[in-house]
Amino acid sequence: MRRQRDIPWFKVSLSMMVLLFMPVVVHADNNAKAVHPELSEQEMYISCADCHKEATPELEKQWYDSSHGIAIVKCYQCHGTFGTFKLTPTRTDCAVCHMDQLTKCSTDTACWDCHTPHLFKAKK
Amino acid sequence: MAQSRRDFIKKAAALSAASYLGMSLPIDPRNIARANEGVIWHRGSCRLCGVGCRVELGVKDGTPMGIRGVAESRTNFGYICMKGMHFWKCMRHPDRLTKPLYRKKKTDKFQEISWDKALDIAATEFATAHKEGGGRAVAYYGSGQALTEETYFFQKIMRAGLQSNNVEGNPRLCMASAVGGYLTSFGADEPIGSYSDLEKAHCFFIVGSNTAEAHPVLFRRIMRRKLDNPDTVKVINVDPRISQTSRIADIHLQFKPGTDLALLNAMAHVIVEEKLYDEKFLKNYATFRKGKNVATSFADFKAHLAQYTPEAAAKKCGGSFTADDLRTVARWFATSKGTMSLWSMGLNQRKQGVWANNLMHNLHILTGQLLKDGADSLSLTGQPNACGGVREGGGLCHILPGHRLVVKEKLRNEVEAAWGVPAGRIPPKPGLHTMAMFSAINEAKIKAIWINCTSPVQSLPNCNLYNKGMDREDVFIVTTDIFPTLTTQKSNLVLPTSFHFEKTGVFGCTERRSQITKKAIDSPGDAMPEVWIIREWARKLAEKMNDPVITQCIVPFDGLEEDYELPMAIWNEYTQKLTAKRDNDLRGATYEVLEQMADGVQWPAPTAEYALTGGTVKKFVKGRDPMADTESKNDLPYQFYGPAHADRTLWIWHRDQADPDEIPDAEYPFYLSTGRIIDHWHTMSMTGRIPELLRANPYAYVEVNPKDAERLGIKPGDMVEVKSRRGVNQLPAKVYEGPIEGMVFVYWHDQHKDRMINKVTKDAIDPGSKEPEFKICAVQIKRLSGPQPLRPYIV
Repeated sequence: MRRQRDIPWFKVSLSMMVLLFMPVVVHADNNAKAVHPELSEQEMYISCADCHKEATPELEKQWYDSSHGIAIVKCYQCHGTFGTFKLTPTRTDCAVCHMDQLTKCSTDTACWDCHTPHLFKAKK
Repeated sequence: MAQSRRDFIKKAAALSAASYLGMSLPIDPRNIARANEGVIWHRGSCRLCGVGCRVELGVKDGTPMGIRGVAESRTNFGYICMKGMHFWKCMRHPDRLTKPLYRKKKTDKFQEISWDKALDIAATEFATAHKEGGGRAVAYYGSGQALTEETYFFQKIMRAGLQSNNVEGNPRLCMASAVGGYLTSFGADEPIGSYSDLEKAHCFFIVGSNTAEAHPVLFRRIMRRKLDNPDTVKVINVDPRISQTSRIADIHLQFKPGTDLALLNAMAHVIVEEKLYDEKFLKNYATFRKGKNVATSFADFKAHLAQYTPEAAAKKCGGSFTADDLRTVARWFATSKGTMSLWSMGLNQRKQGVWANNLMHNLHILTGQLLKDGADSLSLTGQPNACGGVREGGGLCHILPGHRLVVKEKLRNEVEAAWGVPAGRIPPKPGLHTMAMFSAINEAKIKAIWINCTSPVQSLPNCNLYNKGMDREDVFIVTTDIFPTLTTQKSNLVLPTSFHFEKTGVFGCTERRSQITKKAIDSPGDAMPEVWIIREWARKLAEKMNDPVITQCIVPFDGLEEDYELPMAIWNEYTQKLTAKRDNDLRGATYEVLEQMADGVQWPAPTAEYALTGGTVKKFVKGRDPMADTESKNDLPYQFYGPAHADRTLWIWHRDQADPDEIPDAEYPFYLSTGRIIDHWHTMSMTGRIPELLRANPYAYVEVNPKDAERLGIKPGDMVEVKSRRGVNQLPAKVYEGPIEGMVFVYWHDQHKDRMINKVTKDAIDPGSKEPEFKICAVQIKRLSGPQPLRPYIV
């Protein structure tokens, strides 16, 4: 059954959404509480990028223009889907494809310490 | 302006045709691909697509835990796509078939039965059909996803046991035109080069392929090559539809469907007129042909091309590009330090599929963009083992193992001798190709068919027509599969099989690379490896038909356990006896060698010593291909020893532009084309059961060009009727500047009866390859309503 919440959230950044909404913990993975505005099962059939193109256009554009976007590495490959969603992917998520790079980094370094999220370029 | 969340969701629904009806999706919380504690990683190749990515399956206490890439891999460098990342979730999925199921009538409910009874029924039905109609009354329809051992063993029992060449497989639907193209242009099937050319190429010519979605990991390699060398590497994309692949292109030539033969001829025209051809290469290695036995000359070829001026081609192709665009592309192609062409179903699934392949090869032969690093004419294979199992292992009605033609008595006798069966046992006439096979089922001329690892109910073109035959009560259908499909729903007997990593066997991918995947986990329930099923079925067949020759077919495999010994014995028989001195010589690629070689072996690999180097990266080149040396007939560095060209030359063909079988008219004014989407595999019986993948693309939709949409009043998300002379679909619309104006495009994975696009597609075939023209037909387009509730559908 569809649940409704008529609270404006359009064009609100992901971090702002966390503050604005009653956060729904859809999956708890290690230390990071992963949150996403609650959606009905039906709404979960909308692809992540379709919503985020309008909800978080800057992030979506960063991803779309990145090597991940060009190669169609989609949101759910790093963030999981509903039920496994995590706001910040872990090293193990990146390691599915980037194990060799991870072996060059110390284990206490998060990927995002060196790479800008959604751009995936090295921070200067 | 603020917008309510509800408004936003509604808007997003319109954008993506979201559903308002739910579907329960079990989430598997185990996604710890890198959590190594207690996890043992097992090497293998990916189960999905023809790239052949090397992967590792993590297993903990007998339970699959995740898949990871391996950075040192020669195929994928550690990268895997979302399908590769998630297919392990099929292994313990609650929908897996775990018991043999039987029903006498197709309208009855299935009952669980024992394996002994199931195999007895299968043997009885095939023996009865054979008694009534001989080898013509039985058939095997297999898959480019079956292991080589499985395809080889099935066809052995069919040909030598049941004396039937009715051996086919779904690669007929996707690769047959590529086979025809390679054989008629180069004299030998399968590409000359390898993926390693991707990192050395300076020009990519991608035609009729949405590589980004259909072969994502190879696309990543092309993308990386382009992004790292933005000014020196050119990417040309040629397709009626602008796709994700076009994003890395320097130029996209968008043409009206079915006009690409004119486009390719016009490129040859420019190359000849501007003298961009490689005169020395042509002199040493090429000849010209109008027909197999009709030789022509360069002058004849030039005269033939005269009509294909860039101006004429640009007009014929619909006017979306200019003659100068075409000249630019031809120059880039001819003059780069290495040009690599890649294509897939856009060229193959055509009534002129073989011709389109010939014209592609023509450009490479003319320019000498072959045999050197970074240059190749490479057909991308769709399935993981269409090459290794079906093209090489004898999985089509006209070919025997080792690239042998059925019609050649000497070659039949070689196979019979290898099998220890009487000479003359294999029928001299090829069996029925796929579309003829299912037509024969419509007429009940085939009484018993074994369908393995594929779902023709959904994947045949014009499927409504052929589904009527499969509904007949006088046609016995046995299917082997891991999940229920639309085809198991039309079967009498459904046999549960082991999945990838639950059995042992070899896949051979696009680049002639054979890789072994060994059993790492047990199969669920009573599911069994196909090789065991075939052997035990054949044993019962021999008893019921009282035929010692059938027994002879399984004698070499008697008593072997099914998880390793049996597939190894089958592989040994195939490679040692039937690839010896053939162009796909795999004698060196024993299980022992394949287990040592993490990336497998590329054939030809005649000895173990050579196979342990990795095999042949570039065919036909002396010093790089051992058969080029042993088969050498002169001092030239390239030796074309393939079985189809006795003159050992490359053939440049005169092939004219020809229209597709059906072109739009006043009644059906639009072109329809179809294709694959990145998140799903074929008929989505596997990927549709994985929540991440299903949610990413729960439905098929129809892509409509914005100009057409405006004219027809179609808005994003509206329900649209797509109707041909054969069938109709009702799909949500995606208004997108992808398809050329006057064309619509639909992905073909959706199982729902209203969105199954093969009800609409055309079953005309290429006269040479017998491959259907999935890619082009004429349809009507009509807006039905605004966005409607939809529901994903999986059998």
